[in-house]
Amino acid sequence: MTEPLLRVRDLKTYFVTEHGSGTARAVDGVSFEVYPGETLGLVGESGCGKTVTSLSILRLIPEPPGHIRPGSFIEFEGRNLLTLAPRELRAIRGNRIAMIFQEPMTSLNPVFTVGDQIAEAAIVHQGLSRRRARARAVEMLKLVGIPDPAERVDHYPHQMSGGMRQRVMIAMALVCHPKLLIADEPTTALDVTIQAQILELLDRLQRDLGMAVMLITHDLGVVAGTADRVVVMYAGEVVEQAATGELFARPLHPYTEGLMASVPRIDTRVSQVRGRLHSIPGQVPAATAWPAGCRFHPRCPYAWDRCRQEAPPPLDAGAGEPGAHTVRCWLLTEPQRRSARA
Amino acid sequence: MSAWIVRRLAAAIAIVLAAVTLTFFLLHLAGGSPCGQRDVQSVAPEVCARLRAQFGLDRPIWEQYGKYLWAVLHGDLGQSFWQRRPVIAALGDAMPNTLVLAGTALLIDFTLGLALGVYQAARARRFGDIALGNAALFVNSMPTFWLGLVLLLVFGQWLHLVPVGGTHDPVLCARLDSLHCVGDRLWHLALPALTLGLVGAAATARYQRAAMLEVIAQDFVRTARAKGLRERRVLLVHALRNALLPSITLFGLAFPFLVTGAVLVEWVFAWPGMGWLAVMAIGQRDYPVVTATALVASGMVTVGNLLADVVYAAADPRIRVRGA
Amino acid sequence: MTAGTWLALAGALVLAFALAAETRRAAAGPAGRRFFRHPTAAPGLVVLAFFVTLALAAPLIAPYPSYLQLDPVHLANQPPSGRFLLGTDPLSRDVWSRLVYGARFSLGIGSLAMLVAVSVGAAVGAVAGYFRRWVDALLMRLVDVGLAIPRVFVLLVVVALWDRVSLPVLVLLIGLTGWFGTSRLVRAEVLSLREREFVVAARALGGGSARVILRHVLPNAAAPIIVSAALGIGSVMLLEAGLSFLGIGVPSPKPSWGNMIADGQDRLAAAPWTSLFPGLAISLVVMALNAVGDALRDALDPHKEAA
Ligand SMILES: Nc1ncnc2c1ncn2[C@@H]1O[C@H](COP(=O)(O)OP(=O)(O)OP(=O)(O)O)[C@@H](O)[C@H]1O
Ligand SMILES: [Mg+2]
Repeated sequence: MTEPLLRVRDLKTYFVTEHGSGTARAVDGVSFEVYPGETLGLVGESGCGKTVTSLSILRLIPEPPGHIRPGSFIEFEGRNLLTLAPRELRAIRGNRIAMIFQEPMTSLNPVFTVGDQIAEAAIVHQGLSRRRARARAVEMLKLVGIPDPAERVDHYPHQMSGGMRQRVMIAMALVCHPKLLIADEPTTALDVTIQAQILELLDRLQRDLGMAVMLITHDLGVVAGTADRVVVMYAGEVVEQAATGELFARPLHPYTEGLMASVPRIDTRVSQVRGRLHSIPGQVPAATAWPAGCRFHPRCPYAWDRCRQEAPPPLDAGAGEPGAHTVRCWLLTEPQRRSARA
Repeated sequence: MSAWIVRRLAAAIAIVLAAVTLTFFLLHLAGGSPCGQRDVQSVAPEVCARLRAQFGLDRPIWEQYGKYLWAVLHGDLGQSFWQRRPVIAALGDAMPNTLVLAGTALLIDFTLGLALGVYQAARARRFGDIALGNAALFVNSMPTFWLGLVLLLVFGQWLHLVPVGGTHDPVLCARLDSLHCVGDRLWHLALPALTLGLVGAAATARYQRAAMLEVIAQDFVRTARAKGLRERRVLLVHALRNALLPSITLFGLAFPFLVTGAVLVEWVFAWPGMGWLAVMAIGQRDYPVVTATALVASGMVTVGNLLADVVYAAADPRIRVRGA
Repeated sequence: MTAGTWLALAGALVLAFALAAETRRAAAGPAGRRFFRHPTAAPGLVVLAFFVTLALAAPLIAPYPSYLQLDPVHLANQPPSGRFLLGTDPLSRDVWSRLVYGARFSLGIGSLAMLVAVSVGAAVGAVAGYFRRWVDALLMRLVDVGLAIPRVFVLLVVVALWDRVSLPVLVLLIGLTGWFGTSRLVRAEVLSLREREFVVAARALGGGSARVILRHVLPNAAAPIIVSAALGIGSVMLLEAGLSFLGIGVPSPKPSWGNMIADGQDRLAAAPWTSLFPGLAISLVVMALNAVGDALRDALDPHKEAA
């Protein structure tokens, strides 16, 4: 197999909460890879640490209260991002790795025109003149499907709808043709019809520009249509990862099962389910107090004593190459328990 | 937008009108007193007669009010007993001094205040921020005139770096238009303007720090960082532009502070501006001058607020470009 | 005499610390914890308690009567020493004694004037917010005008017109020119409260307006009122000091910190202590009030936390 573009190893990002209620272990030992040109889906309920994971990659965690623990390792194109000097890091941000955020309404600066905001990255990273950068901004607006780009380029964010703003965010992220685009729930805040449009746009742009996309969502339905591989997160950990087809054919973690059960139809891209997933009882616990043992055990229908005491390591599910499908679940060692329940 | 400006302008005019009315009634209420029951011996009969004639105290009150309004509209604020010339002339001499002082103080207030506030926000909760924050809190708690006295004591009396009062040296500066004289005037201006500016800057810095911190926590600042911008650019361009908007409101609030502070600072530094004129006039029991200064001060505050509102509307694209 | 002075001073300090510690112990709830989370809240309380003790126990603490000119020929402008803790002023009065008695005037006028301002402001704000419509419009326009006319000038005009102003009138004047901000705050609070169920219910049950406002609305708007009062006393004290400094506030020879500063102004270079110490006292008290006010805001009004 080819070398991964991005390799995250044992990433731990903790937050020291203010009122002394302890340390929030938002991301607690996450490992995964992104290969050039592929789409990786990162799935999990609200509060699982998806955003913190993606912010950690670009070292955008607010510090304090947050910090990335020593021992974590994030390698991009052969360099450890966690030890880069600020200058080198800036050369990667917005240039080699770009990011789209969850909230299109607030992620654009209200006092600058969208054209200025798109052009900025081109000026900083590629040294374009203001005029060339502006022309580039118009081009990008056209690319992301905004009508009348030559006119829209001088508009302010408040003059645009949520879907338009997310398109602007995408234009801004792609202006330097990054190798990796991190899209953090790019459609959660949008209307259902707009969601589908934005996802289609991302899909098309990925093929045209040949970049890798890390698509974060809490909706497995979204992942099914777009991702090549899927990483499922729960309580700051990766609980299962596999190729998309494999995962949907053979979900092994009870959490993944639960997520799937909550998607009305697997082949629809747009699920109606938002936020809480109704088929899994209970909620994600607070990041300051993960349950002992397997973190999912309080909500797991199969849990037994071992799950309460011992945290399972990532276990190889044995399909294909080693590491192609891993699961953090003791059921893998005692599969008969699953059938006994079912 | 233009309809909004017209409405805002109307409100400002109404406020000034109300202030005029208020001064009229205060004057009217007091009209009898200096010549009447109390303090009879302390007021010369001629003063009394002039006062009565000036306000036509024997006429019905509405007629008096109308006359007063009419006069004020024409810039006739009455006669100064003490200076024996029209009040407007006395104000004309004092106003430029106050404007120079307040303007310089405003400049110091905002440049220093904004710089400190941004610096503090950039180093929030670290040593520099905490030290500056407490210093600002202390300066902000000082009586302005006392700070003026302390600065006067240190820089004027002990170090002999600056003159101890006045706007210029009448011996050195016989001809007011000479270049040398401009230097001398600036030299005299330094301490009073610094006094007023420092106290203002302490408040501005506190406010600006809070505004910056609020903006820095917003999503678009993270977007700017994710673009690979330098931290300097993130703070000074993306964050500051947004944090400046609320400071424009502060600009409006600075006027009452400046006008009030100027009274005391002018008194400490013998700076013959409006405040100094008003206090001197009180000593001379020169009512028309005192009420006129109050009127002008209210006018300045109202104009300042109006200015701040208009600047705010012009600076915020969300107001400037409605829908387009 | 000297030993007594030192003893009284030490007593006041100890009492101040004890009071602050006791407050801290008593305020154990979440609001109390939010209050004391401010690093400046506890020192602020100590400073306030100290000066309040000075004011209350002035005759015990001051070594000389505040008016007493000890010896205008030989004892004027004496520097601070064991005998005269903070020196003497140009009229040979003991600055420390005047400072202690001055605390009565400065703190007293500050709090009383603020009381007037807060009462008027709360009443106007409640009425405007409760009745809305033209009452509200009229009162708020009045407030606009009040805020546009600088207080100092209103007071200058009044003093100019009526010459001598007695202390109660001074308190009233400062109070009556200082309620505008509070009334806006209370109005906003009342506007949101008046739609809440318990107020709607009280009205539906036929409670009279005055009764509903007094019993149901104002108590629930107490937090912002208290906070604005705490933060307002400081500015009132500064105003009073300014007026007294100009000679139109507390009249000499009554000691107020403002007119004490004026007493030393002419001999600033020769006897700076006369002006320096009262100014320092004002600055300390105002700073303490601001610190306590800020902490109170967080304690009572956590959603309006300052950054
Ligand atoms: N700035 C912060 N301060 C303290 N804790 C934080 C902070 N940011 C995140 N956390 C903690 O990290 C946990 C994970 O948050 P994260 O935003 O990564 O979740 P998410 O998976 O992206 O959820 P969502 O679907 O809602 O976006 C949160 O539950 C919170 O406790
Ligand atoms: Mg998220």
